[in-house]
Amino acid sequence: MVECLIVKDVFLVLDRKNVLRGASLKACPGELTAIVGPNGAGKTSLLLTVTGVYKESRGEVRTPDKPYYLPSENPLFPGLTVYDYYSTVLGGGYLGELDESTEKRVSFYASKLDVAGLEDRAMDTLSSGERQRVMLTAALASKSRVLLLDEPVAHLDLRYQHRAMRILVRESSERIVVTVLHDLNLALRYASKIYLVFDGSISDPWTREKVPVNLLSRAYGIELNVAHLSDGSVFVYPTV
Amino acid sequence: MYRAQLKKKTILFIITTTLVTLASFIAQLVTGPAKIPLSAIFDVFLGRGGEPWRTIILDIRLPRALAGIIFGSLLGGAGLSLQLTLKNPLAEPYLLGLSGGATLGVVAALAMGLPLGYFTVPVAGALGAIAAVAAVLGISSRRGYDIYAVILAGIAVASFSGSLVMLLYFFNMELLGYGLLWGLGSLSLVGWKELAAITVATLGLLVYAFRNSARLGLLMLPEDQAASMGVDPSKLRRNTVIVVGVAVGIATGFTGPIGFIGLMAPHMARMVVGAESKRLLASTIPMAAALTSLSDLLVRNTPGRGELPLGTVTALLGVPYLLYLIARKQK
Repeated sequence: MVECLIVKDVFLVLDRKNVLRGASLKACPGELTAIVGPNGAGKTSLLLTVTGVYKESRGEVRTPDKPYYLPSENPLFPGLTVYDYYSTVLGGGYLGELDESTEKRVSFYASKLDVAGLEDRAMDTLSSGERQRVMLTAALASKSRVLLLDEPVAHLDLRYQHRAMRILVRESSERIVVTVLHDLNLALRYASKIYLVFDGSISDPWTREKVPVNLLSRAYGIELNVAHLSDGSVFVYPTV
Repeated sequence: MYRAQLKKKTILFIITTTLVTLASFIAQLVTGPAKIPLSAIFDVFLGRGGEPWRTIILDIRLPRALAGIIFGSLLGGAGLSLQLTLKNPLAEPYLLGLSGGATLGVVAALAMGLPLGYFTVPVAGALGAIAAVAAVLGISSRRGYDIYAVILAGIAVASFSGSLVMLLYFFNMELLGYGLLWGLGSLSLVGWKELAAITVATLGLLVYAFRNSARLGLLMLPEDQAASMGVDPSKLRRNTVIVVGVAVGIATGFTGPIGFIGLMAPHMARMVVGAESKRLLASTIPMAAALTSLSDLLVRNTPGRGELPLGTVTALLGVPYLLYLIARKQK
């Protein structure tokens, strides 16, 4: 039986402000779900509501497993090493050591993202791209069947962005992957469905086949155009 | 591979620091103004020793030697717990205004003319320290115990109680001697009764810290991530401040403030074994015990008139260490 993550008509109030007003979303294994939207639209609040950090005032959140949440902003304890980051987020033994199977999973994803061998380094001495790949490695290595990723590729260069997105696509065949993305074109290329969060509400899901360009232009406050290339890829770009 | 290496390094660190602590403990029993041969010490422990050595060993040196180790463990565990909850490797228990509050308690009790009974000073000191922590929590609660609110409230409470102490001294100059002496921090007055109270406080804190070590470790992550993993950061921070404040407050009542151990020990351990909270807690405690015991051994055996106050010596060691940490961070 395939179990999906279901968010149904969720309202969220934070500091007496309506952050989410009737948000609905469904994400299942076998599809990569992307969430896009302008700054401050409520994307992170939506993920945090799904994890249970925020309690919805109305509506319903159903998730088949305790989600792993990867935040976008990351103030960490100074000097925390890469290995200790893994053991802190993935859970270690009495002396903070990863068990064998977890260590295997970590090194599998670490080598895919080219961050193997960094175990001894402090997280705050890595470049922002390396640090983000380490954090993504930890998220992928977690055993949770629901991954909620907040801008997981924002600091990566072009090559790693695409490599990371391909890994997410493959990963999404077996578990639920929901990722917030700022780059619309990355979302168009890799996501099976895209939700636009805008001013606390959320669009119906759409794909590269049917880009709601007027809605996007309105949400971002900038005139956008869609280009369909002969190789089948779709790009959104500003007309100004 | 890495896992095995790390485990070996950690176990080696714990064994080494424990052995150093043990050596310092034995040295504490052997050294002092009265020259007692090792054989006489064995005799005392085997129940064959005569006076006055029996009293010196069992009632003076033994409780004090144990106090160094136990209070040290308390300071190390407390320092690490605070560093994790405040996400700040420079935090230590006295940051919470404990020492200022304790001094205020002691000086206020003396100024009120309370009889200088066996427990007056320690109880007044502990109450003052706990009142300071209550004030810190009261102030920072309005901002959900966020990290900066706690740190800034601690600084405010410390300055405020410091000024009140000065005011009390100003109107009661005769208290200057005793209050000042207490404020320097020393284990010299710790006997069995005092040790019992310090031990209870230490056990309380260590049980709390070990039981919560994994959750405290999650506070090294962004707050939202910690929260997504089932920890309420504000609540955990509040509870930790309460436990640290009460435990260190009680112990401090009997000794006066002994600073910087809670800063140095976790940091020294972290340099060797890394920052993962369970591993670091297990390593910090013997490190802090060794550091405190060795410092006390040092102050008891400095040549010259009388012994130096322990709190002053740990500060003399700790401040350069702190400066080194600050300078190193700016690379």
